[in-house]
Amino acid sequence: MFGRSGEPAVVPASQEKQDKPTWRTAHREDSHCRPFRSSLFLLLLPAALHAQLALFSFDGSTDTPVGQTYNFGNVAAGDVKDVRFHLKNIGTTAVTNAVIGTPQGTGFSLFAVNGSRGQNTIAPGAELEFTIRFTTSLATLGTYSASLQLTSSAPTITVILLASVTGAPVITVFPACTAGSNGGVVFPSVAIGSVGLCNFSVQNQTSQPMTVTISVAGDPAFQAPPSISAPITLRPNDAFTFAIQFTPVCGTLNYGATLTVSGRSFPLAATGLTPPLPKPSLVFDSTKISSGEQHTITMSLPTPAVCGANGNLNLAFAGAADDRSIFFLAGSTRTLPFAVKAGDTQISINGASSATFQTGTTAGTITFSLSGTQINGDATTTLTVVPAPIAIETAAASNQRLGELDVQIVGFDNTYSAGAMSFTFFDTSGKAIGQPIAADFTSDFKTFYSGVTTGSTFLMRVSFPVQGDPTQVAKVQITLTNSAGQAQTGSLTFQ
Amino acid sequence: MRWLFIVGICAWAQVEQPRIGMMLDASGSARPVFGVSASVTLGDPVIADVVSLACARFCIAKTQDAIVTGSHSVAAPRGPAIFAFSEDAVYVYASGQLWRWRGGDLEALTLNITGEVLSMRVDGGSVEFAVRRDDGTWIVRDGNVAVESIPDATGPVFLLPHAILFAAGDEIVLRRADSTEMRFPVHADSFVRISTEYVQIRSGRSSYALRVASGREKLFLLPEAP
Repeated sequence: MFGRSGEPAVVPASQEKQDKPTWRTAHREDSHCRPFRSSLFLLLLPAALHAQLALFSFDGSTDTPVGQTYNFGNVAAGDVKDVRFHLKNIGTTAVTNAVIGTPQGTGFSLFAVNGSRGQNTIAPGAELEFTIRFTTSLATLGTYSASLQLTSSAPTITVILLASVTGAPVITVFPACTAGSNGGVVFPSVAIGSVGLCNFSVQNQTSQPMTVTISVAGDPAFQAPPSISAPITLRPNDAFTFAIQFTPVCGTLNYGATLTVSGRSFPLAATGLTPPLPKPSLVFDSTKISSGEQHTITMSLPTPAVCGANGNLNLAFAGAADDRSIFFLAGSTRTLPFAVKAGDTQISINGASSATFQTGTTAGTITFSLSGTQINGDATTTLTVVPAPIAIETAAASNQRLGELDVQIVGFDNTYSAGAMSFTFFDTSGKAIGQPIAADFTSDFKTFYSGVTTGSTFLMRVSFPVQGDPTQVAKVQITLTNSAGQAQTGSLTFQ
Repeated sequence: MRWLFIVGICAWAQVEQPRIGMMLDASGSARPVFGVSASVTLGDPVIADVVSLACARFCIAKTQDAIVTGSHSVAAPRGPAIFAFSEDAVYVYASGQLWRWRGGDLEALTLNITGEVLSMRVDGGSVEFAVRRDDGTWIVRDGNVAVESIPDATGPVFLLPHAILFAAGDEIVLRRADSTEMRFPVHADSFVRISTEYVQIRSGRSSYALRVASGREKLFLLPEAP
């Protein structure tokens, strides 16, 4: 097949081989001049260095000298091919009025000039870059040519541009895959644990049999069927369909690969979606909790985790006062990391199978929640610590100080309303001495509680001035009252 | 009967934060433990680089090279120490030597004991030692006078007034003088006396407190330092 422009004629392959690889003069050499070429070159060399231009093709890193022709090579029908060129001033004086001409021939165009599309000045050692595009969008199969002229104050350079349009299969991608902005194919997002497919068709719309090669390279999440491992021959109007499978894996969000069909590359892109963690069960060693206790929490999943996950187990407290003694014992913190491995149902908390927490000494609600990872549902669980009468840890009575009877009580009041008390004293025969003595230390407790944030634990010392023989007072029983009820010390012996 | 007035209306109260003792945290700092059983918080470190600690009426600590109590410090043989409180002194066993710490001074005492000393206590004015020998674990007095054997002890031993606390496999045993005992499912690496009523049990990364007061025994986790 011949090019359509008709001028100049397509250069036979034998003539291409005679191209001189380096810079050359603008006039075309005829074959009968060839014997003089070497000597003429040497004689003219000093003059040629003066304002001499040379043309190179540029692949992005390397300049390659261009002879009388430049061949774009085979270009698949429907494709576009750009070639960058450098017009260099290899002389010692500036070249003026340099103009990159428009290629004269079908399919070729001056796509870009890194300078003016009009006249340019090229200083000694400088270069002018331009890009010639060959587009086959409307072309039929065959060989194409065009003439490119580079005019300037230096002798004009003329180059014959060549390109061959080859038959290409028509590739179709079916929904739900879509065309990407980069000319590739975008797979629909696929949840990890599932498989996505893109169906393709490769069709020979030419009148000649066509051999097609198909390959997929890149991320192994994309898998091509074994049926495309060998070249496929398509008769005219025949089509071949195949599917590329996309299987995302844990830990990767975006995937990429390249589908290559008979040398034409199509980027493949896909996104893997990590499914949310199934809603964990938060299990406690006891469903009923009270102040002044330690309990454990464990977490498990109803179904195995598809992917490993990490997050935080959080504890929050709401009550009459902030109680900083309500925390996980590990690290004295209200947040612990949790983790689950892919395929597991058991969730580790801070590297252990369970976590122990204190309920503190304040009535209210302790809420456990999860954060830091996607969860399919809300696992938040709340435990209630109900108001309770004053808890007495220890109580003691002493008559060792002269003129004083001392009572010491250690305990906590999760209502923060302590203060009202009554004291019943007993003689050595066990008889009550008079009526119980009422006392109200509410203001003392309020003052104390206003300055603490670690709960309601208290050590209370009460002293009673006495007259007479204190050894006649053998025991005391104390009733402590708060908003939740009364608590008694039992009978304390003075000692 | 002599007359007696209890002037209730003049009774006065003082309320403060309770404290259960002083623990040794994982980094070697002595920290006060506030609160009540199973609901405690830790205070800031008061002594750093502690290798041994014991608290009763007061706390005494051993750093690598000194014995520290309150703001007082006395140079002492390098390494850990074992303490026992008496009425008016603290006995210190360190580097194979027995000392008596009284009034801020260390007095070296002669001692004839065979075996690895695990714990000490003062009973009736005599110092008793828990020692591990090839033939088992014993409680002895100076001169290797045997008081009692602890045949089932497999790890650390701690001598309490009228009781013994020791590790038996992955349990700890609290055995009273009347031979009654309680067992707790905790593996013990070491014991630290954190107050008269509580003993710290160090177990791997965790620490427990055991309330050893008779009739009030309770085991709970101590918080890790923040």
